[in-house]
Amino acid sequence: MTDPVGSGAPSTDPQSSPPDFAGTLLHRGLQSGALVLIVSILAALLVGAVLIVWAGENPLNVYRVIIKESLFEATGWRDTLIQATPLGIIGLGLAFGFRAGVWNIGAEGQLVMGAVAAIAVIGPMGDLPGILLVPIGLIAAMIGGAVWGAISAWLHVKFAVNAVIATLLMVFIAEPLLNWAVRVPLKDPATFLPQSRTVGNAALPDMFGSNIHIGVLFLFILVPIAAWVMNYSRFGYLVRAHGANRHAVYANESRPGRLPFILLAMGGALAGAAGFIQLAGVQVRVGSGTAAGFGFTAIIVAILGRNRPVGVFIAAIGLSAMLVGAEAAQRSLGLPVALTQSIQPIIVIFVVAGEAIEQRILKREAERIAALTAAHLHPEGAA
Amino acid sequence: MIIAQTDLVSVAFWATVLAAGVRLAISVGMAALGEMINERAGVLNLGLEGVMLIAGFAGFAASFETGSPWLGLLVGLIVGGIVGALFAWLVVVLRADQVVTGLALTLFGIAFTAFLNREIYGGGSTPPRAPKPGVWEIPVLKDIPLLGEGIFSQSSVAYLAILVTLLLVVYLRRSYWTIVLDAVGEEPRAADAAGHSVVAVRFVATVAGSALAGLAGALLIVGQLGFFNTGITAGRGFIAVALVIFGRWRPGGIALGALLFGALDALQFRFQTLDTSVPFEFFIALPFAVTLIAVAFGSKRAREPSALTLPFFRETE
Repeated sequence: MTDPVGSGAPSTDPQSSPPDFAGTLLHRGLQSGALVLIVSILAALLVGAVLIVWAGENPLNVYRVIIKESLFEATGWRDTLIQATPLGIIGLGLAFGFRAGVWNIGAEGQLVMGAVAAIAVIGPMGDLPGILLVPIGLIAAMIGGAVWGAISAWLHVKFAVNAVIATLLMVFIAEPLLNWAVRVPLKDPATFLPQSRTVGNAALPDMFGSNIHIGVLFLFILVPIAAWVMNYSRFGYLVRAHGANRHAVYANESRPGRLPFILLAMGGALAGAAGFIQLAGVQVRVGSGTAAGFGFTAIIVAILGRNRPVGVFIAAIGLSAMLVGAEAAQRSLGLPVALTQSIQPIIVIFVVAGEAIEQRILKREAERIAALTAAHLHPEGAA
Repeated sequence: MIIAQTDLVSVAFWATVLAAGVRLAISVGMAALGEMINERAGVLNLGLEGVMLIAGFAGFAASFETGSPWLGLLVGLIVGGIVGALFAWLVVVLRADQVVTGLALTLFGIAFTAFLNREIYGGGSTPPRAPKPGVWEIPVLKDIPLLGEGIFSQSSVAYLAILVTLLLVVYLRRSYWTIVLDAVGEEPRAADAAGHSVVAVRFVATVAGSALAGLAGALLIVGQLGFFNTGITAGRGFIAVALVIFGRWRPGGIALGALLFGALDALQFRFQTLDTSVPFEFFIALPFAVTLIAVAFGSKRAREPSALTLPFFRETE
């Protein structure tokens, strides 16, 4: 029943109700963010497959090795959990910052300073029993990381230095400081290498019968606490409000810089804690292996975890499994770990692109439905 | 080379420091100039470090395979532009978050070039070396004490870089497009109302900025170092972002900041061999510490482009 004179009536049949996009599977998938994430991971794996083919390997075989070695082997599970621990702990700290729009990308330096502080404090107390040394080392590391984060925070809050710059440049100061510390004041006189003494009694014991150190528990304890703080506490509310509209928060705060300062110091403290757990649980000494890149990978962990504690936990396990599998693939197939490390940021890029496209689809659908509804309610008034 | 402390008062010592400082300043200054262009259009590119690495590696490969540093620079420029177009498509056209996308680009650049370097050139501790461009000395001028060696005895590609920079600075000073660029970065709605496509201007500015950063990366790796290593730019992309703030989004200030960083970087190399009680690691950290302090002093008075990092939505959309 077309309108031959073009009186402007809507072309759709006014009797039919507007299509219910809101209930469709596509809509629900888009709203939860799961669809974008899954498509992004698949797309990134596809890009990775192209690179693997170029490197002369069979991608299906490589992915099979990565999954098998990281998740279906006992040693793989162990390594995945152990590497996920620093990633998750740092990622939680970063997630609070990112959620509030405070970009701490200097966790690598904060981790380094945590490890240095820990070894400096527990070094002279080597005779104490582990039950005392471990908490002392952990607290020293958290203070060391927090101080490093607080320097960035001070520059950011007091001098309005961009947080990205204030945190990142401190990494390039922390690394030489580490090298000097293990070369001169903290050097183990028994070796020629620039490395500290071992942590001695502070070495983390393994959990009941397994060969996984107890530091892993720290992550499992921290995640629910962080989730509660983020979602139910006043602090978490302020963090989320600061991310949504910081001026609304500042309007009710007597000291507007306080929240970013706390977030950067807290991120530093958690990065420092991760530094101690790596030191006491895995590396035993501070040295060239201390700055292993966890601080940078944790940025991806926080972003892919959507800055939510449970998401961060899942992302930490996932990215850790990817890296553990990649190390196995490097050993058995000679495929560089750097390949997997480049796939991880590609996932992030696909996710942000996917979310932007998703926003467009949702908006367009909303407009279409609004237009149809308007036409439905006022068929004579439609243009 | 061990430097005695008496060298510190000699003119020759400071002349070489200055010469190296100018060389080191060129690449970081050029990257900062590129970042300035896209930031003035309202686009923050934290992927600068990644762009420098990817374009620098491409430039190195081109120069290594063909033996021509000039081709290496050209490839660096083009690859920088291509990566910039990809970034612009994400953040300008799709309006993805600039900070997240930029950081991801940097992390990708570090890992991806490490992967390529390992696959193609073995990635060992003694990387292959590409031919370095020749040095052009300008007679008479190079004999000016203190400054002569620094400015008038550079590698041939450095003169090109200086020329490009000067032309760009002069062009930006006098051009109609600079006004459009600033309008898009400060008041995109007004620029849009005046008939300029905000998306198009931001896209072009981002591509241009990345192309310059790519050239800067190639200049560092092809023109100065002659070899590639994982993460060889060592934070210079972020230093460039910092220099834009220090220079308050103006070429003159950026050039000054780049010279300061370059001089400290050059001093750092020389002081490492200096026979003092100060540990050499202190000098390695010094350029970063001074940049941070300089930015701290500049940031309060600096005012960034109003629309920086904000995506543009037309009211009709």
